[in-house]
Amino acid sequence: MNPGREKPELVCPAGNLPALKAAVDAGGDTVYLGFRNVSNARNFEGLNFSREEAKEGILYAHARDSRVFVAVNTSPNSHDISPWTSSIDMASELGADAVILADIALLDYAKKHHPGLRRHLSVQASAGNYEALNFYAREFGIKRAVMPRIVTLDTICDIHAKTCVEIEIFVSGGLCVMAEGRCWLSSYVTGDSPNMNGVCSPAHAVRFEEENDSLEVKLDGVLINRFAPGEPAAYPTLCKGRFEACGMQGHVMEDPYSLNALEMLPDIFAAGVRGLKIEGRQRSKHYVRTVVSIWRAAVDACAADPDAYQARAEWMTGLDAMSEGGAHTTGAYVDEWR
Amino acid sequence: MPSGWHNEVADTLKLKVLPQPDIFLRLMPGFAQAQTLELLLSRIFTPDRLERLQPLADKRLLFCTPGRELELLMCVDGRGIHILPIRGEVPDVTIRGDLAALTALCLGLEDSDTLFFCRRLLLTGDTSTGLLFKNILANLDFDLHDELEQHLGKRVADMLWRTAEQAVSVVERLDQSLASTGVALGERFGLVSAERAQSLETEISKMHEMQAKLQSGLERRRPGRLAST
Repeated sequence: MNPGREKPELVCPAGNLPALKAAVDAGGDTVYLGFRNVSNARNFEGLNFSREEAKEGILYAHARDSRVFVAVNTSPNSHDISPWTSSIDMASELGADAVILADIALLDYAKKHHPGLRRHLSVQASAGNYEALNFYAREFGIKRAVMPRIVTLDTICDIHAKTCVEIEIFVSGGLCVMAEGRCWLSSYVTGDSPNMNGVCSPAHAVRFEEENDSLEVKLDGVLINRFAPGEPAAYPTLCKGRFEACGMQGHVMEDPYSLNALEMLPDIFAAGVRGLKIEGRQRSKHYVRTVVSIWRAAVDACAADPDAYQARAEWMTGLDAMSEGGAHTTGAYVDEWR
Repeated sequence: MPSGWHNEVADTLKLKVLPQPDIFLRLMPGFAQAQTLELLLSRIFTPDRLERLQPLADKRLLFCTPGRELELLMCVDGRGIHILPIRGEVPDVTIRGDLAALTALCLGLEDSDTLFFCRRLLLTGDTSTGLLFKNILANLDFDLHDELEQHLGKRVADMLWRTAEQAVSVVERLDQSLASTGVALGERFGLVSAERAQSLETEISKMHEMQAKLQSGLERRRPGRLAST
C-alpha cells in the first residue's frame, strides 16, 4: 500500500433499522439501504425502510460518524417514474450522504434536482471499464462506482489508474455471477427481474418441497435444484441451480458459494479501492453484526501493517459458517469463470 | 373464536419436547400454557408492534420441529396473536426447525438464511408469507428478556429464561449423543457407508457448533441479570 493512501471504507448492508444499528455499532463506516418500494434491487416482502425508519437510521448513523447511502438502483418503467424520483427526493430530504443509482434518467434527475447530493453509480449499471466511468462522471457527476462482480482485480487496478471516479467493490456475501443489471434469467421463469422489479427469484414463485428426504427447490413450478439430505442449501436462484448439460448434471453456471475476499485484502488496498462493500441487505442484524465485526478487524489489521496481514482462521471460519453453501469463493477477482 | 377452544388447543399444543422444563411449566396444563402464551404475546405485541404484523393478517403460520414434537399454529388479526387448534387447519406456511433453531430465530440470535443454508430451518408452503414473517420479525427490535421482565416480573422472567437455556442445553446434549450413537450403530451394522458416516459426523459437529453459538447468544443477553438469583 502506498504511504498516505486512505484506508478503504467499509460499506455495510441494512435491510431494516436493527441491522443498520448493528452495522454502525460493529464498526461500519457506511451503511447502505433502500426504501420499501420497487426502487431498489432488494425489494423483498417486509424488507427495507419506511420514511420514518430511514430518518431514524440516518440520525443514528450520523450521531456515530457513520454515513448512509440510499440505493435507488432499479430501472424505472415508462408509465410512472414517480416511485424512483420520490425516493431520490426523500433520500436528499432525510440527509443521506449519497444515492446509488443505475438508470441514466435517474442520474439526470438527481443531478438537476439535488446537485448537492453525492451520486454513486450502482453495480446495476454494470459499468466495468474506465471509459464508461469517465462518461458517467462527465455527464452526471458521479463520484463513485460499484464494480460488477465479474471483473478481475487486475481490471480494477487498470480502471483505477485511468479514472478519478472512486472504486467500490463487493468483498463479502452473496455472489452474483452475471453482468449485473443485464441479467434476465429470473424474468424468463417468473416474469420478475432484479433490474425492473428489484427481485431475483421473487418469493411468490419460490417453493421448497421435500421429496424422498431430498429438498427440492422450484421456481414457478420448474425444478431448479435438489439437495440431498444434509447437503448445504443455497438461494433459489437460477444461476446457482443444477441442470443437465452436455450429458452431465450439476451447477452449470456457478457453484452456490459466497464471496469472501479477506485473503486478498492487501491486493485490494493496493488496487486503490475506496469502498469495500458487504452484500446482505436481506439478512438479519445477527449476520450484519458478525460479518461487519470480522471485516472491521481485518481492514484495521491490513491498514496497520499490510505486509504482515494474514486473514485469520477464525475470520474465515466465522464467515464460512454463515455462507451460502457453507463455503466461499474469491469470485472473478482471481478465479476463472466456468 | 368458538367457546372452549382452549381445550382443543390443549390437545394440539405439544410442548413435550421441552426437556426437563421448569417445574412451573411442567405442572401447567396445556390449555393454560396456550392461554399464558397468548396473554404474554398480547403484552409483548403492543398496539404499535401488532400494527406492524398486520401484513400477516389471517395467515396461518405453523411452527414445528422435524419430528412434530412441537407444533404451534398461530395467526394474527387486529386484536392480537392467536394460537389455533391444528386439527383441520391448513397452514399458509410451515416453518420447521429443531428447537434450538426455532428459538434462535424467534430471539434473533441466529440468521435465518444461515439456518436454512445448513438445513436446520425449512420453510414450506407460501414462501412470500414466510419471507414476510421473517422480515417483520427481524425488524421488531426488542429484547425478549426485558419484555418478559416488564410483563411478568423479574422472577418469572428469569425462570423462563433459565428454562430456555436448559432446553437448549439438553437438546444440544441429546442431539449430539443420540445422533453420534445412531451413526456409529448404522456404520457398525452396515446401514451406512464409512464415508456417509464421516459426513454425518461432520454435520453433527456443525450442528453442535451452531447450538454452542445459540447458548453463547443466550448468555450474552443476560449478563448481570441473573446474578442475584
